[in-house]
Amino acid sequence: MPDRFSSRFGGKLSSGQKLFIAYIGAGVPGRDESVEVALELARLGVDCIEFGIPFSDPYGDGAVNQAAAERGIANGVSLPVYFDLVRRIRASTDIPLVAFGYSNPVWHYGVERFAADAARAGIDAVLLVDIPVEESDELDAACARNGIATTFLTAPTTPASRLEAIARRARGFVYHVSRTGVTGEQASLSGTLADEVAHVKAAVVPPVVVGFGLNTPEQVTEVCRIADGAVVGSAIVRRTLQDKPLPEILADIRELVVPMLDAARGA
Amino acid sequence: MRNPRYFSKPGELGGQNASNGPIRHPLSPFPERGYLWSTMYETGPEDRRFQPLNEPDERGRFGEFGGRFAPEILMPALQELEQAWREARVDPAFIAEYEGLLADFVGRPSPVYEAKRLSRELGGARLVFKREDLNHTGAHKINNALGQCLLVKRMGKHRVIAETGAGQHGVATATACALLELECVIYMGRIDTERQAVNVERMKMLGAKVVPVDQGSKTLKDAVNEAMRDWVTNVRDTHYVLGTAYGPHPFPWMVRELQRVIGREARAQILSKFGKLPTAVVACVGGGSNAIGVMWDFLSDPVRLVGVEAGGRRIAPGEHAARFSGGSVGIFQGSRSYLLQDEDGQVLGTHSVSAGLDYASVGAEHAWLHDVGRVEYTFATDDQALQAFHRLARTEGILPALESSHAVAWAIEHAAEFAPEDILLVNLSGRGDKDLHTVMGAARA
Repeated sequence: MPDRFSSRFGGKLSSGQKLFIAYIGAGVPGRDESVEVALELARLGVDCIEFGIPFSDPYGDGAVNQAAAERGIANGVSLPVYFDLVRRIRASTDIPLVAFGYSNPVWHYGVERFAADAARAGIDAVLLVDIPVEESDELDAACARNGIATTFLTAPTTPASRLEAIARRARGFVYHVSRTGVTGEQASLSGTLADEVAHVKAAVVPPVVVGFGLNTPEQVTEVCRIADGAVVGSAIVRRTLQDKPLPEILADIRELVVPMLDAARGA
Repeated sequence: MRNPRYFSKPGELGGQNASNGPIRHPLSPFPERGYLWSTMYETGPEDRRFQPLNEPDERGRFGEFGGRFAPEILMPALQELEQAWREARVDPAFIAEYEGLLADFVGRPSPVYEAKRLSRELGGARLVFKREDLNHTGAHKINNALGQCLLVKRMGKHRVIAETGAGQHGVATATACALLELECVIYMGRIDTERQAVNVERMKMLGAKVVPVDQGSKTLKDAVNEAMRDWVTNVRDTHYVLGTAYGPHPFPWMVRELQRVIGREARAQILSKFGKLPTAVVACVGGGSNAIGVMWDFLSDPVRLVGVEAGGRRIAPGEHAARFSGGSVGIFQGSRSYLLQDEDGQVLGTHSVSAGLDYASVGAEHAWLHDVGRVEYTFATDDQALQAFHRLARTEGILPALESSHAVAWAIEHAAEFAPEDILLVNLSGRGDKDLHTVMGAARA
């Protein structure tokens, strides 16, 4: 399995710490700036970055991530440009990087070519929102041939039978969606989350992280009490979309992320 | 009334219009366009005939097309829906209730009507219209909306959402929900709410909530995205009544089955009225539900089948919705099919004068029928559709929907290529009252 995952995640988890994963959109606020945002998150000590591939119709995402996708497309983030941004991030950090997106740009580019170029650029895992386990044979095979992982979402609606299928395929980590809904911030967590996470953890080998809607240190603490880590996306992405100079955006991100990182570490 | 279910099945009728032309393997793509049916299929033994797919495979595919490209949150709901549909479609009680409503509430069977005056003007084929425009709510959409809403009751859900482009599916769904006591929310692109304002009012009067969508191009595909987001959020008590033969499995199959009544009726009506099959069947293709519905029961027959997409202003990116002319294979909103996309796999904007055809992708079974060469797909432009609208109004006293006007436009253009005894069946999928605003605007421009 991918070395960057096991060295990073394994070490953290065996010493009792929890994982903190950040999602950002490639090319947001600009191409170069998105590299700087990723490197800032790495410097802060984030454990993994989901680097979003922009897609025109992200129907699993809320308004913030859709706005980021539109910005990324407007800034010319095709897959060749995306891989170039990944290379520039990879040149300065060994943080695990996940290519996160939707299937059409990947299939249009060619699944095998995508996996090869992703691996060469420094991607560690691929997660495509609209590729459930039933449709993932081609992607799994291509990624395996190129030494990168495929991983999957689990949801509050996922029954035990599907968890088994996901467990057979998921590598690196499993991303549990904290609620039925699209991405976006929310005030409180679902009351059934602890039970759901317990079921997923019992079924799968890789660490189980929880995301969708987290935006406060308290929520991160709550999630890290029951899961192996937390994913924060829209709250960070919203800050990258602000019409401000980059240093101010980075300062806003630090102000948001540092207390959440502390929460993950202290949990 | 005869029960439409017991009308003849594909392959039952043999020997008519037998051809001595060359026999081709049914699955070989035709090398050229402009072929005649007489060289396509022999009408003799079953195994020489085109074999349609009664069902997609276990992964929901028609050949390489279709599938279930959906977020994990929706997968259990799609599996549950497939199971519920498999049970319902063979349950006599469900069938009786559905067909009873089709007869008494929708007014089926819809007539077939020979347009003698227009045929005479054009010379060539005898034009015959399948009058889905005479259905309650004014289009074929009600066939599907009623079937799915009955299924919703059966599944014990109480809330229904739907997308709509022209508003016809929204009106049909709102109607079915009023009838069956279901809560109803309709998503509609902001631009479509403006060009179909009357349908918005109709939906509201029927008790539905209409949500204008301001994302993206503010048309049909964005309404689908927004409906998907609602479904992802409320999946436990909500069913998404998808309006066309598109989306993740089982929608393309289920919607086709619910719309097959069009072709089953038309085939029997034409046989009984004219004593022979039509030479060709033509329908407009947006997502493709009226087309698959009218064509399916003719697939094994020696009948030429033509799907007409929206050519918009011209075949250039963003100017049309002719997926088979300007698209390539992609994955979009749950399904693999032909898709209008740019070189990076981003979905292109579309344009059509008819909101119902203004969509970037097309039903998976159409993609398969295109690739195996059984159905030919072409397009009509905005101008051709508008001209067809006016011509049908003046010659036959029928205002067709602008969507259906695309099929009429093809018939007008090609009627003279047929022999005088040939029957050209055109599916008049909906009526044009909703389009008066657009047609009047186009006349001023």
